[in-house]
Amino acid sequence: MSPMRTPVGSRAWATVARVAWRLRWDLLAVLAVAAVMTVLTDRLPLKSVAPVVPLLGIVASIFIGFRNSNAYARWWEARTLWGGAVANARSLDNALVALDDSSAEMAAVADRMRRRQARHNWQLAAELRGETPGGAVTQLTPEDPPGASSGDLLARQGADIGLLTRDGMIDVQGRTLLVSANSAQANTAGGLERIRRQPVPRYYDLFVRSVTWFFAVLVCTVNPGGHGRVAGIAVGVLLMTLFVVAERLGHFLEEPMSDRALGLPMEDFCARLTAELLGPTSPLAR
Amino acid sequence: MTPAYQVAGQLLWRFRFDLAAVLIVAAAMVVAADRLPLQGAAAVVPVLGIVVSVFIGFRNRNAYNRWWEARTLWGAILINARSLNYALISYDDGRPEMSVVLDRMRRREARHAWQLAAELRGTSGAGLETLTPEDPPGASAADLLRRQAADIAVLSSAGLIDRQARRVLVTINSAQVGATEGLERIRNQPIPRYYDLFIRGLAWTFAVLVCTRVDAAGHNTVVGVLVGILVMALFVIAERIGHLLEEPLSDNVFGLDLDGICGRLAGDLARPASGLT
Repeated sequence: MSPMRTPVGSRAWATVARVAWRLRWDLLAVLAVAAVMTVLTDRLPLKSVAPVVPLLGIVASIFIGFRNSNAYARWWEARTLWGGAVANARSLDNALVALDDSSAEMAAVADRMRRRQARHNWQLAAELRGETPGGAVTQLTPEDPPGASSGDLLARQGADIGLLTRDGMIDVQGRTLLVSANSAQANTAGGLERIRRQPVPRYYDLFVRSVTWFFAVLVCTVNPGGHGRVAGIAVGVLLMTLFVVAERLGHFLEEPMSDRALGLPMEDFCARLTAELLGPTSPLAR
Repeated sequence: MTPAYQVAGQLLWRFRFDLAAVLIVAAAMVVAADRLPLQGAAAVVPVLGIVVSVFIGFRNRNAYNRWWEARTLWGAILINARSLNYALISYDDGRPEMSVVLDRMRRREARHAWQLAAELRGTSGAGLETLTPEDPPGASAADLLRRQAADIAVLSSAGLIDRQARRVLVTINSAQVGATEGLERIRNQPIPRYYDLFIRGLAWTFAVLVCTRVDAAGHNTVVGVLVGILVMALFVIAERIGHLLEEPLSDNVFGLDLDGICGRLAGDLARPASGLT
């Protein structure tokens, strides 16, 4: 089992720095709002707002918690589906082993199907990132068109299953097993595409973000520490930052496949899968 | 069942550094709280307490789901092994050449579970090769399932099982592949690092703020200090317990009893006096 601990399996400070850099505009906005409020608060008639701030804090916490909870579920579903892709590749490989009739003809088709399964996953990862796969990926199966999509590749797997059946290399039971494995992979790919292409509803995203910022501004407006004291301002900034960062972390979690730095390590999954299908010496294996 | 005092003792030992940090922060605050201009922070502590509770609760809920999923997948490993055993019993026609293969497949299924447990713990699984000397000593859990598939092909090509039986055995093998992969996923994919750090940072921020202005009793009373320490410890331990739950496969003390599950599985597969247990 290859060690594949975490997409951001680096030291804590490196992770903090990466997230801080990603959130630099939000953090700057927090500082700007705090600075403006330090000047304006005493001039604005907002003292009566103070009693509603704790209540709004509860509301904001519930919404941010809800968003993060759903975002985590989405992230974990994506990870589970990638695990399914690895399992499907192993299942196909094992089924081909179990169905092998030791003929040279079957060995050639089985080899192509294994290479194509690996290519399909690399292709899928590239499509999910919105990129074009490298030449090494298309070279996995020179028998297939260079521009074949992940869907095309599964269709070609189906065609090879048909070929194995028509030429008598596998029986109908064997065909059923291979078609089931191909359908499982189609389901997995469909699930991943769904997560990638369907973000959380835009109006919901905006609403939660607005609630967060509204609360953040109000906290700063009625700064309990008093604006005349550095410590009071620091507490206000800390609280604002806390809410804004919490909301943004939910946003990162929601996009597990389009973010190379903080998302899932799809290339690691594909490399591991390639190593299992084609051996550790394959150029695309880790 | 482990006695409660023993579990509490193990927890305290595991959290010794966190608890020591709580005491250090509390001691520092007893000295510094009245000198720091943070009196106003008292007003935000209740709001922050709610935020922290929401996030720690969220983390613990996900951690528990993860722990339970791992246990369910180990249950599936056990069920798949039993299903394989029952299927092999059903297909056994009593011929010696078939018995040899069936016996090997049962032993390999047991070795697969032990090997998987070893891989999930990050150990080598040395000594497991004695279960199936026919397989390479360094075979991984995935290799062993592939070899099960090869034995299905042997049974099928030798005419020892028919096509329906082959399909059933391949389906069971695929189910075991799925359960194995699920466990590897849980082992290898922790909660995102930035999320882990954020929740831990949040818990500590709140703990420090609680201790800063704190308790109604104030820092000048022993009771006030004790309340502050208890509240800090509560939040810090709650966050750490979530962390413990998140790693059900790699922790020998608080993780799942993988050896117990593998032992039961081997017992189910073993014929009398086979020595698998």
